[in-house]
Amino acid sequence: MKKIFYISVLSILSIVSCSDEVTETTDEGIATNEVIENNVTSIEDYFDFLTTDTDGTVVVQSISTALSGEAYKAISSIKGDKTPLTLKVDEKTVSFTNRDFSSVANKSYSNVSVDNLAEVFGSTFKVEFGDDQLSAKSNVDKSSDEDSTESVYIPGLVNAEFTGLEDGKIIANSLINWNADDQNTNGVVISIEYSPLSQPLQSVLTQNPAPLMQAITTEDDGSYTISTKDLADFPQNALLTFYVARAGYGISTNDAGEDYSLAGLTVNRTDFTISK
Amino acid sequence: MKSKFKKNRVIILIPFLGMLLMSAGGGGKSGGKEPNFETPVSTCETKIIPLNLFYGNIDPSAIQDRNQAWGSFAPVGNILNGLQAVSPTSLYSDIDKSYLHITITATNCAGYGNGGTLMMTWDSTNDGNNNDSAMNIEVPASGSFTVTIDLHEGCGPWYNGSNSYKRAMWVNQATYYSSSVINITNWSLNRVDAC
Repeated sequence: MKKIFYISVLSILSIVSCSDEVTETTDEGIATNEVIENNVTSIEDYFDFLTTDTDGTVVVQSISTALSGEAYKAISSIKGDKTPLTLKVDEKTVSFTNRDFSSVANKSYSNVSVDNLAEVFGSTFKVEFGDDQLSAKSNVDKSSDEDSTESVYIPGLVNAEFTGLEDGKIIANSLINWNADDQNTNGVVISIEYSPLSQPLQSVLTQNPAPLMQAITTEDDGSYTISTKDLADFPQNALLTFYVARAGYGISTNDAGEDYSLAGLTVNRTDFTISK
Repeated sequence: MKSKFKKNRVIILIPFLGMLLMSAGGGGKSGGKEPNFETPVSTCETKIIPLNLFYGNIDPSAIQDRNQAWGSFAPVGNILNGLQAVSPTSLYSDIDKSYLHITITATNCAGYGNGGTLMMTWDSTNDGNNNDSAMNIEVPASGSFTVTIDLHEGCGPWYNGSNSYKRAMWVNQATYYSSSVINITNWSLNRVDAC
């Protein structure tokens, strides 16, 4: 049975955003802090979770479509008005050549497109900080207590396919299949989005001028059956965008008590008209 | 027994998210709703920044699967070469012209757009230059936001591998932190529609 839960991004962020604040856990690693239930309404909410407020963060994101391969982008941020962190993944270095300083956030930011960063996904890394660089080393020795404790797993790149269509349209009981990642304990977010500006039919746009989104979170077991309920609020014959996404995230804290994080987000996008 | 996170350790957040995503039962998701983040962290300031569609001397004809026979632009005024200053208002309203729309989502930005989502169609005149492939967009002054750009070429034989009239559609999507410019350096072919 699919398991669904709504999370409060802000509440989670408040739990994990600063390691100077001691967070109590059980031996199983279950947070004892109270979590207020809320909805993940979009991939953006999912991304918000990844962008926890730390002293330095590098996020690698990739998006693929049905007709195109992965497009990688990396984002780096650091507190203060200075050059954002460089990312080193094993022997590969990603430098952030552009830079913006936000006085509101007192942070410097940079984003770059990268031809290939596939090595970030589907691996367990030990994350270290030093020399203005976030270093992610794979080949973690899981038999080592220290390495297993300090490692983070970034899920593999997600590739999704849709079957059970009717005349090329998504219907109730259509199936979303993706490459399951049994090491990913985060689950998968499926986001369904209606944009009035994407509609090829005037009648759909005229009757439904507002955007509409919803997200489904499910286990990373490789399949999800679209239900009647999933489609209920979307207009008949609307062209919808389906995102399938998963992510991993880890924070390292140095001796000075500064937090540095590495996150990876992989998204697959496909557009379909629905019939219900 | 309880333990505490310690410094000098990587804190694995996966169990948190995993627990939250997986631990409760249920077979469906609540109904769709307009984008709405219920607990915005602050009043959101915005700023105007340029969006450059083809940055770094990217050759529009080099975007994936475009018909190379047409060179760097279609024979009519076109967003791809900066000769189409304004997009049609919808996908169906003028199918011979390129159609481009932009969606910016910042669900944690109070008062931004419609419930955190701002949508617009192509308008290169808003930066004072009608003949380029750049326009101004409004984004949150700080925090993260996602920019999704859907570019539909006008109906024609522009799509590679076919001389029949089709309409190729490319996308670019990424999430940014506070940024003073959005430069697009790659496009992904998303679908090819009949027309």
